[in-house]
Amino acid sequence: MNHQDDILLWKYIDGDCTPDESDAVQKKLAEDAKFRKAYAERLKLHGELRNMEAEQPSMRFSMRIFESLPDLYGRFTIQPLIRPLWARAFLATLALLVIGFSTYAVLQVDPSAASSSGALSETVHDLTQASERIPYSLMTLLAALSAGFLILVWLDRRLRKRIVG
Amino acid sequence: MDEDVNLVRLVRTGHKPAFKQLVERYEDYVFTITFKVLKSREEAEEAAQDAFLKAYQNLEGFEEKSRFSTWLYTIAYRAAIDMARKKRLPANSIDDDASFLQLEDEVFATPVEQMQDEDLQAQLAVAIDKLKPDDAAMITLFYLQEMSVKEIAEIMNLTITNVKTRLHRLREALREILSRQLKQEIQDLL
Repeated sequence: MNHQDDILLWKYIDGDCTPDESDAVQKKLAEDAKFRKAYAERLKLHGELRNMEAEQPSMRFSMRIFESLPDLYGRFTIQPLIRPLWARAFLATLALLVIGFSTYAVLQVDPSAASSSGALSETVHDLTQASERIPYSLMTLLAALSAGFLILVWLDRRLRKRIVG
Repeated sequence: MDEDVNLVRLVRTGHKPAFKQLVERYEDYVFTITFKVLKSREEAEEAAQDAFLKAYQNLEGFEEKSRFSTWLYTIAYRAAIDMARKKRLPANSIDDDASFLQLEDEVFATPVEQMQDEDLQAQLAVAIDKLKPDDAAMITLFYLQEMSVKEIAEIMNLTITNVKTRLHRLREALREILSRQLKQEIQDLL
Protein backbone atom coordinates (compact mmCIF):
# COMPACT_ATOMS: atom_id res chain seq x y z
CA MET A 1 0.00 0.00 0.00
CA ASN A 2 1.45 3.32 -0.97
CA HIS A 3 0.48 6.78 0.28
CA GLN A 4 -1.62 7.49 -2.81
CA ASP A 5 -3.68 4.36 -2.18
CA ASP A 6 -4.28 5.49 1.42
CA ILE A 7 -5.57 8.83 0.23
CA LEU A 8 -7.71 7.22 -2.46
CA LEU A 9 -9.28 4.77 -0.02
CA TRP A 10 -10.28 7.47 2.45
CA LYS A 11 -11.66 9.58 -0.40
CA TYR A 12 -13.66 6.56 -1.56
CA ILE A 13 -14.99 5.92 1.96
CA ASP A 14 -15.92 9.61 2.39
CA GLY A 15 -17.67 9.58 -1.00
CA ASP A 16 -15.35 12.25 -2.38
CA CYS A 17 -14.00 10.27 -5.35
CA THR A 18 -14.57 11.33 -8.93
CA PRO A 19 -16.30 8.70 -11.12
CA ASP A 20 -12.92 7.72 -12.60
CA GLU A 21 -11.35 7.33 -9.16
CA SER A 22 -14.33 5.27 -7.98
CA ASP A 23 -13.96 2.96 -10.96
CA ALA A 24 -10.24 2.57 -10.26
CA VAL A 25 -10.90 1.71 -6.60
CA GLN A 26 -13.62 -0.80 -7.48
CA LYS A 27 -11.39 -2.46 -10.05
CA LYS A 28 -8.53 -2.74 -7.58
CA LEU A 29 -10.86 -4.05 -4.88
CA ALA A 30 -11.97 -6.82 -7.21
CA GLU A 31 -8.41 -7.76 -8.20
CA ASP A 32 -6.12 -7.08 -5.25
CA ALA A 33 -6.64 -8.98 -1.96
CA LYS A 34 -4.15 -6.76 -0.11
CA PHE A 35 -5.99 -3.64 -1.25
CA ARG A 36 -9.30 -5.25 -0.23
CA LYS A 37 -7.94 -5.92 3.24
CA ALA A 38 -6.66 -2.36 3.55
CA TYR A 39 -10.07 -1.05 2.53
CA ALA A 40 -11.86 -3.31 5.03
CA GLU A 41 -9.62 -2.07 7.84
CA ARG A 42 -10.32 1.56 7.04
CA LEU A 43 -14.03 0.97 6.57
CA LYS A 44 -14.18 -0.75 9.96
CA LEU A 45 -12.41 2.18 11.62
CA HIS A 46 -14.72 4.60 9.80
CA GLY A 47 -17.75 2.67 11.11
CA GLU A 48 -16.41 2.65 14.66
CA LEU A 49 -15.74 6.39 14.51
CA ARG A 50 -19.28 6.98 13.26
CA ASN A 51 -20.62 4.96 16.18
CA MET A 52 -18.95 7.14 18.77
CA GLU A 53 -21.40 8.41 21.33
CA ALA A 54 -21.70 11.97 22.56
CA GLU A 55 -20.67 12.74 26.11
CA GLN A 56 -23.34 14.06 28.44
CA PRO A 57 -22.94 16.94 30.86
CA SER A 58 -24.43 16.86 34.36
CA MET A 59 -28.21 16.76 34.86
CA ARG A 60 -28.68 20.41 35.80
CA PHE A 61 -26.39 21.76 33.07
CA SER A 62 -29.04 23.40 30.89
CA MET A 63 -30.95 24.70 33.93
CA ARG A 64 -27.77 26.33 35.30
CA ILE A 65 -27.19 28.09 31.98
CA PHE A 66 -30.82 29.18 31.79
CA GLU A 67 -30.68 30.62 35.31
CA SER A 68 -27.55 32.62 34.54
CA LEU A 69 -28.82 34.25 31.34
CA PRO A 70 -28.89 38.03 31.65
CA ASP A 71 -31.82 40.10 30.34
CA LEU A 72 -30.25 41.26 27.10
CA TYR A 73 -33.03 41.22 24.58
CA GLY A 74 -36.28 43.12 24.41
CA ARG A 75 -39.38 41.62 25.91
CA PHE A 76 -42.13 40.37 23.66
CA THR A 77 -43.81 43.31 22.04
CA ILE A 78 -47.46 42.75 21.35
CA GLN A 79 -49.28 45.59 19.67
CA PRO A 80 -52.26 46.85 21.70
CA LEU A 81 -55.67 46.07 20.18
CA ILE A 82 -56.62 49.74 20.27
CA ARG A 83 -53.94 52.33 19.81
CA PRO A 84 -53.59 54.72 22.76
CA LEU A 85 -54.28 57.65 20.41
CA TRP A 86 -57.64 56.18 19.37
CA ALA A 87 -58.52 55.39 22.97
CA ARG A 88 -57.80 58.97 24.00
CA ALA A 89 -59.80 60.33 21.04
CA PHE A 90 -62.75 58.13 21.97
CA LEU A 91 -62.67 59.18 25.61
CA ALA A 92 -62.37 62.87 24.62
CA THR A 93 -65.41 62.55 22.31
CA LEU A 94 -67.37 60.87 25.08
CA ALA A 95 -66.41 63.65 27.51
CA LEU A 96 -67.40 66.32 24.94
CA LEU A 97 -70.80 64.69 24.47
CA VAL A 98 -71.44 64.60 28.22
CA ILE A 99 -70.38 68.28 28.56
CA GLY A 100 -72.46 69.23 25.51
CA PHE A 101 -75.52 67.51 26.87
CA SER A 102 -75.04 69.11 30.31
CA THR A 103 -74.69 72.58 28.78
CA TYR A 104 -77.73 72.05 26.58
CA ALA A 105 -79.79 70.91 29.56
CA VAL A 106 -78.71 73.87 31.71
CA LEU A 107 -79.60 76.32 28.92
CA GLN A 108 -83.13 74.86 28.80
CA VAL A 109 -83.78 75.90 32.41
CA ASP A 110 -86.04 79.03 32.65
CA PRO A 111 -84.07 81.67 34.71
CA SER A 112 -87.26 83.42 35.95
CA ALA A 113 -88.68 80.15 37.23
CA ALA A 114 -85.43 79.35 38.94
CA SER A 115 -85.62 82.49 41.07
CA SER A 116 -89.26 81.97 42.20
CA SER A 117 -90.55 79.64 44.90
CA GLY A 118 -90.31 75.94 44.08
CA ALA A 119 -87.23 76.71 41.96
CA LEU A 120 -85.60 73.33 42.55
CA SER A 121 -88.58 71.30 41.33
CA GLU A 122 -88.88 73.57 38.27
CA THR A 123 -85.22 73.19 37.43
CA VAL A 124 -85.41 69.40 37.71
CA HIS A 125 -88.50 69.43 35.56
CA ASP A 126 -86.73 71.54 32.87
CA LEU A 127 -83.68 69.25 32.89
CA THR A 128 -85.86 66.14 32.53
CA GLN A 129 -87.69 67.73 29.65
CA ALA A 130 -84.40 68.64 27.98
CA SER A 131 -83.08 65.07 28.29
CA GLU A 132 -86.30 63.74 26.81
CA ARG A 133 -85.58 65.74 23.66
CA ILE A 134 -82.50 63.53 22.97
CA PRO A 135 -83.69 60.28 21.28
CA TYR A 136 -83.64 57.28 23.65
CA SER A 137 -82.11 55.01 21.00
CA LEU A 138 -79.17 57.40 20.55
CA MET A 139 -78.53 57.41 24.31
CA THR A 140 -78.66 53.59 24.43
CA LEU A 141 -76.30 53.30 21.47
CA LEU A 142 -73.78 55.70 23.02
CA ALA A 143 -73.93 53.92 26.37
CA ALA A 144 -73.46 50.49 24.74
CA LEU A 145 -70.56 51.75 22.59
CA SER A 146 -68.81 53.28 25.60
CA ALA A 147 -69.27 50.18 27.75
CA GLY A 148 -68.05 47.87 24.94
CA PHE A 149 -65.06 50.06 24.28
CA LEU A 150 -64.05 50.20 27.95
CA ILE A 151 -64.43 46.41 28.33
CA LEU A 152 -62.24 45.84 25.23
CA VAL A 153 -59.49 48.14 26.50
CA TRP A 154 -59.55 46.45 29.90
CA LEU A 155 -59.41 42.94 28.36
CA ASP A 156 -56.61 43.92 25.97
CA ARG A 157 -54.43 45.30 28.75
CA ARG A 158 -55.08 42.32 31.02
CA LEU A 159 -54.27 39.71 28.32
CA ARG A 160 -51.10 41.48 27.20
CA LYS A 161 -49.93 41.61 30.80
CA ARG A 162 -50.57 37.89 31.22
CA ILE A 163 -48.75 36.85 28.00
CA VAL A 164 -45.79 39.19 28.20
CA GLY A 165 -45.49 39.08 31.98
CA MET B 1 -37.25 27.70 7.63
CA ASP B 2 -34.51 26.22 9.86
CA GLU B 3 -35.94 25.52 13.30
CA ASP B 4 -32.75 26.75 14.99
CA VAL B 5 -33.03 30.10 13.21
CA ASN B 6 -36.64 30.42 14.36
CA LEU B 7 -35.54 29.83 17.95
CA VAL B 8 -32.69 32.34 17.61
CA ARG B 9 -35.13 34.97 16.33
CA LEU B 10 -37.44 34.25 19.22
CA VAL B 11 -34.58 34.69 21.72
CA ARG B 12 -33.74 38.03 20.11
CA THR B 13 -37.25 39.25 20.91
CA GLY B 14 -36.62 38.46 24.56
CA HIS B 15 -38.11 34.95 24.77
CA LYS B 16 -35.52 33.27 26.99
CA PRO B 17 -37.13 29.78 27.04
CA ALA B 18 -36.30 29.51 23.32
CA PHE B 19 -32.61 29.63 24.24
CA LYS B 20 -33.17 26.84 26.76
CA GLN B 21 -34.48 24.75 23.86
CA LEU B 22 -31.29 25.47 21.91
CA VAL B 23 -29.16 24.54 24.92
CA GLU B 24 -31.05 21.26 25.38
CA ARG B 25 -30.66 20.48 21.69
CA TYR B 26 -26.89 21.05 21.56
CA GLU B 27 -25.61 20.54 25.12
CA ASP B 28 -24.31 17.00 24.48
CA TYR B 29 -22.44 17.97 21.31
CA VAL B 30 -20.99 21.17 22.75
CA PHE B 31 -19.96 19.34 25.88
CA THR B 32 -18.37 16.55 23.80
CA ILE B 33 -16.25 19.08 21.88
CA THR B 34 -15.05 20.79 25.05
CA PHE B 35 -14.50 17.45 26.76
CA LYS B 36 -12.42 16.04 23.89
CA VAL B 37 -10.25 19.15 24.01
CA LEU B 38 -9.93 19.51 27.76
CA LYS B 39 -10.09 15.84 28.87
CA SER B 40 -11.70 16.83 32.18
CA ARG B 41 -15.46 16.78 32.84
CA GLU B 42 -15.43 19.73 35.25
CA GLU B 43 -13.41 21.97 32.96
CA ALA B 44 -15.35 20.82 29.91
CA GLU B 45 -18.62 21.71 31.61
CA GLU B 46 -17.25 25.12 32.56
CA ALA B 47 -16.08 25.77 28.99
CA ALA B 48 -19.38 24.52 27.52
CA GLN B 49 -21.32 26.80 29.88
CA ASP B 50 -19.06 29.68 28.94
CA ALA B 51 -19.67 28.90 25.24
CA PHE B 52 -23.45 28.94 25.63
CA LEU B 53 -23.34 32.23 27.55
CA LYS B 54 -21.09 33.79 24.90
CA ALA B 55 -23.44 32.55 22.20
CA TYR B 56 -26.39 34.10 24.02
CA GLN B 57 -24.60 37.41 24.51
CA ASN B 58 -23.50 37.56 20.87
CA LEU B 59 -26.67 36.25 19.28
CA GLU B 60 -26.97 39.44 17.26
CA GLY B 61 -23.66 38.45 15.62
CA PHE B 62 -25.17 35.26 14.18
CA GLU B 63 -25.87 36.37 10.62
CA GLU B 64 -27.76 33.23 9.57
CA LYS B 65 -25.28 32.65 6.73
CA SER B 66 -24.10 29.34 8.15
CA ARG B 67 -25.90 26.75 10.26
CA PHE B 68 -26.50 27.75 13.87
CA SER B 69 -24.63 24.60 14.96
CA THR B 70 -21.50 25.65 13.01
CA TRP B 71 -21.59 29.06 14.66
CA LEU B 72 -22.14 27.54 18.11
CA TYR B 73 -19.41 24.89 17.73
CA THR B 74 -16.95 27.61 16.66
CA ILE B 75 -17.60 29.41 19.95
CA ALA B 76 -17.38 26.13 21.91
CA TYR B 77 -14.15 25.09 20.21
CA ARG B 78 -12.52 28.47 20.87
CA ALA B 79 -13.70 28.50 24.49
CA ALA B 80 -12.18 25.05 25.01
CA ILE B 81 -8.92 25.91 23.26
CA ASP B 82 -8.61 29.12 25.31
CA MET B 83 -9.10 27.13 28.49
CA ALA B 84 -6.62 24.49 27.30
CA ARG B 85 -4.05 27.24 26.71
CA LYS B 86 -4.61 28.57 30.19
CA LYS B 87 -4.09 25.01 31.46
CA ARG B 88 -1.02 24.82 29.18
CA LEU B 89 -2.33 21.72 27.43
CA PRO B 90 -0.41 21.20 24.17
CA ALA B 91 -2.71 22.54 21.45
CA ASN B 92 -0.46 21.77 18.46
CA SER B 93 -1.61 19.11 16.10
CA ILE B 94 -0.71 15.83 14.54
CA ASP B 95 0.74 17.81 11.64
CA ASP B 96 3.65 18.51 13.86
CA ASP B 97 5.84 15.40 13.48
CA ALA B 98 7.24 15.61 16.98
CA SER B 99 3.81 15.63 18.58
CA PHE B 100 2.64 12.90 16.19
CA LEU B 101 5.42 10.63 17.41
CA GLN B 102 4.67 11.57 20.98
CA LEU B 103 1.05 10.52 20.45
CA GLU B 104 2.07 7.11 19.19
CA ASP B 105 4.49 6.58 22.04
CA GLU B 106 1.86 7.46 24.59
CA VAL B 107 -0.73 5.11 23.17
CA PHE B 108 1.66 2.24 22.67
CA ALA B 109 2.75 2.73 26.25
CA THR B 110 -0.60 1.17 27.22
CA PRO B 111 -0.05 -2.57 27.69
CA VAL B 112 -1.11 -4.32 24.50
CA GLU B 113 -2.50 -7.28 26.44
CA GLN B 114 -4.78 -4.98 28.34
CA MET B 115 -5.87 -3.25 25.13
CA GLN B 116 -6.76 -6.55 23.49
CA ASP B 117 -9.23 -7.41 26.22
CA GLU B 118 -11.27 -4.31 25.52
CA ASP B 119 -13.52 -3.90 22.55
CA LEU B 120 -12.59 -1.73 19.60
CA GLN B 121 -14.92 1.09 20.57
CA ALA B 122 -13.32 1.39 24.01
CA GLN B 123 -9.84 1.31 22.50
CA LEU B 124 -10.85 3.98 20.06
CA ALA B 125 -12.08 6.18 22.91
CA VAL B 126 -8.73 5.71 24.67
CA ALA B 127 -6.84 6.55 21.46
CA ILE B 128 -8.92 9.71 20.88
CA ASP B 129 -8.38 10.74 24.49
CA LYS B 130 -4.66 10.61 23.81
CA LEU B 131 -4.91 12.94 20.83
CA LYS B 132 -3.89 16.57 20.97
CA PRO B 133 -6.84 18.83 21.80
CA ASP B 134 -7.49 20.19 18.31
CA ASP B 135 -7.04 16.77 16.67
CA ALA B 136 -9.57 15.28 19.07
CA ALA B 137 -11.92 18.18 18.30
CA MET B 138 -11.49 17.66 14.55
CA ILE B 139 -12.31 13.95 14.65
CA THR B 140 -15.29 14.66 16.93
CA LEU B 141 -16.64 17.34 14.63
CA PHE B 142 -16.21 15.15 11.55
CA TYR B 143 -17.72 11.97 12.92
CA LEU B 144 -19.95 12.81 15.87
CA GLN B 145 -21.34 16.09 14.64
CA GLU B 146 -21.10 15.05 10.99
CA MET B 147 -19.82 18.47 10.00
CA SER B 148 -18.46 18.90 6.48
CA VAL B 149 -14.78 19.61 5.84
CA LYS B 150 -15.76 23.17 4.91
CA GLU B 151 -17.61 23.67 8.19
CA ILE B 152 -14.70 22.23 10.18
CA ALA B 153 -12.35 24.61 8.37
CA GLU B 154 -14.64 27.49 9.38
CA ILE B 155 -14.86 26.35 13.00
CA MET B 156 -11.14 25.71 13.42
CA ASN B 157 -10.02 28.63 11.26
CA LEU B 158 -8.08 26.38 8.85
CA THR B 159 -8.05 25.91 5.12
CA ILE B 160 -10.09 23.11 3.56
CA THR B 161 -6.89 21.47 2.27
CA ASN B 162 -5.39 21.62 5.73
CA VAL B 163 -8.46 19.95 7.26
CA LYS B 164 -8.43 17.21 4.61
CA THR B 165 -4.73 16.52 5.12
CA ARG B 166 -5.02 16.47 8.87
CA LEU B 167 -8.08 14.24 8.81
CA HIS B 168 -6.26 11.79 6.58
CA ARG B 169 -3.18 11.68 8.77
CA LEU B 170 -5.29 11.49 11.92
CA ARG B 171 -7.31 8.53 10.68
CA GLU B 172 -4.21 6.76 9.47
CA ALA B 173 -2.62 7.31 12.87
CA LEU B 174 -5.68 5.88 14.61
CA ARG B 175 -5.68 2.94 12.20
CA GLU B 176 -2.05 2.25 12.97
CA ILE B 177 -2.73 2.39 16.68
CA LEU B 178 -5.70 0.05 16.43
CA SER B 179 -4.32 -2.11 13.62
CA ARG B 180 -3.98 -5.24 15.70
CA GLN B 181 -7.60 -5.09 16.85
CA LEU B 182 -8.84 -3.99 13.42
CA LYS B 183 -7.14 -6.94 11.72
CA GLN B 184 -8.82 -9.33 14.14
CA GLU B 185 -12.22 -7.73 13.60
CA ILE B 186 -12.07 -7.81 9.79
CA GLN B 187 -10.94 -11.40 9.55
CA ASP B 188 -14.57 -12.50 9.73
CA LEU B 189 -15.50 -10.08 7.01
CA LEU B 190 -12.97 -11.28 4.46
